Amino acid sequence: MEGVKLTGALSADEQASVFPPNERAERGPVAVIECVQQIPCNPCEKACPFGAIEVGPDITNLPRLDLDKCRGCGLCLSKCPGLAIFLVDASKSATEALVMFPYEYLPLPAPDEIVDGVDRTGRFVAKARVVKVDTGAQREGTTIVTLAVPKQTMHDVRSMRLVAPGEVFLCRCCEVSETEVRQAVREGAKTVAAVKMRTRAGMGLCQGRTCRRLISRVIAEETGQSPADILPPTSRAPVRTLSLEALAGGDDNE
Amino acid sequence: MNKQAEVIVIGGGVIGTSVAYYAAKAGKRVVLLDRGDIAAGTSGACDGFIIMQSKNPGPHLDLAMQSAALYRNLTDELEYDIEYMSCGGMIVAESEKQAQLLQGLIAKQKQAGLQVELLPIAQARRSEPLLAADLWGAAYCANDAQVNPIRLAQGFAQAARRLGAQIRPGVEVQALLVENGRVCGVKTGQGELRADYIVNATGVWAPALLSPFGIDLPIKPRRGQILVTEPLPPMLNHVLLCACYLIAKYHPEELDPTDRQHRLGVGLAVEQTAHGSLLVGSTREFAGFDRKTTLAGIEAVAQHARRILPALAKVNIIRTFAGLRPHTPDGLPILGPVAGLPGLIMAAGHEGDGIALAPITGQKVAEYLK
Repeated sequence: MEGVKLTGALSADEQASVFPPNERAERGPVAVIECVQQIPCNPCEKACPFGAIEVGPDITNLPRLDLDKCRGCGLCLSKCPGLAIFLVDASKSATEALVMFPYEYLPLPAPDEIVDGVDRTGRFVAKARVVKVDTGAQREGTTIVTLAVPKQTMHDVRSMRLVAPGEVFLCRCCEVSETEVRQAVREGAKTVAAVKMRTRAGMGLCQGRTCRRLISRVIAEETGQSPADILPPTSRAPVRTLSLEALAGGDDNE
Repeated sequence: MNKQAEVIVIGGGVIGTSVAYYAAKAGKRVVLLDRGDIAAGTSGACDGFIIMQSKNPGPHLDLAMQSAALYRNLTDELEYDIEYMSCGGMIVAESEKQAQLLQGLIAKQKQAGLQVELLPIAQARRSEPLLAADLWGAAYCANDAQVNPIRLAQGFAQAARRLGAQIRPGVEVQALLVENGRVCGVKTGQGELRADYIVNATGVWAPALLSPFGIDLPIKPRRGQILVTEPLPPMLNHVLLCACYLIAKYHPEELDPTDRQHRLGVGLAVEQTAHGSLLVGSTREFAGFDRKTTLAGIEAVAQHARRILPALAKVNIIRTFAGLRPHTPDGLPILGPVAGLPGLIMAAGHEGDGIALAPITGQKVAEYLK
């Protein structure tokens, strides 16, 4: 089970297809567009003031980055609805690199704070130092965090976790904590659906799209099973929220 | 083989867990078996109405009123938040004709001691402002309430466990064991279990256990499709039904077969849960054991909801689901012993009244087991 479509995180091959060459990062900041699914989406194209990102007339094309035009300004990071664009900069020191990423959680870290740098699945990679926390108006609610990380991890660290995070919500819609999910699994809930029945995790606005893999992972950790063997929850219509009016459609009768 | 229990309850829905709780409370050694999980069937796919005024005067309403009385202290008794809300309920009448139908029912309910008031629309809208202004009105009953059925079943199961009952999800009963003409146990995927009494609380699945004995239990699955909205600020003050629900339930002959909503048995049933989501139901269709939602079904429910509560038009639907209600021909549950199969007790067939009748069903069955 590999790849963004199945795990929510890029596989090694998918990562290799989007990384800029190391020489480019050594020259200065550069965007990394970790977008490997052909979906109809192109805000990144307009976000770039230097015309470095091209999607083209077919809106499902993957974005192409012109490495020479990219100045590493980072404006595209908060414009990507999928939070799939990052910035790396290996030019500042021999041992450290800077990694910039969108961060939509509270509380925010403080500059100079030491945090856990985590990978695309949330696993710990290395300790990291917060360099900048940009909540500026042009970010429209998406904060951009810059971390200094060991240089060899610059393609692995893609987010962060506070060292003393307090409660971690696995299901953000219904605010169900990791502790509650683990408790439910220990009480006998061995499927995502059973966890949902006990905790409401996955019953909110996103219908489990965000949390179901995290819940599968907790069940796997608690029971020693492979995450691939944990039954996914039943998917139910509608795929996206729809207004009642839209569902009601036209006339009241045939 | 020795008996493992005095009572085996088959089925972990609101009815089975209630029976397990009241039997354990009465001092019985109880084992509850469910092939899936607690509230994984009908009880996890329904609304939470505890509605009195939809019940026919007679044993149906009497049981419901006794059940309502048990509900009032149930949260404290179970030491579990079952999200019980004593909100009162309204049954909406769209037309003069529907109002007359309600009027007839109300007169009989009043004689039975249930206070129901028929309010013209202007008056009904004073306490439920989202109702459409061009409806006829609504019947109001302060005794109607709501509960979270999943938490109800979990609360019963946990309280039963504290009283010594064994709650065993994931154990499928494959057959009843009969010796010397008496039901004495069950055969499960994990071996045989024996007890003095076996309670069949498996709802729509109840007939399967009896058919090997030539008993044709008249319970049929009737599908109800429900829409779930995004969480919303408090906007409904009551649980709401519409008179179509009563017509589909008690007078199916009055339905117009050329009308899709009538054909799907759509009658409005709307409640706002403790978490803010509205549950908007529901169809009443015979579609076998198919638990899927259909486009025609959810469309018809949405149309009906828009007609009665126009303010919901812009509200977002985040999920739809369907559950199977155990329908019986006379609209009454099948409770008590089965002729020809001593030792077996039925507690199934509540259709849309399972939530309202769960506590009293458990208590009555427990009393019978004494």
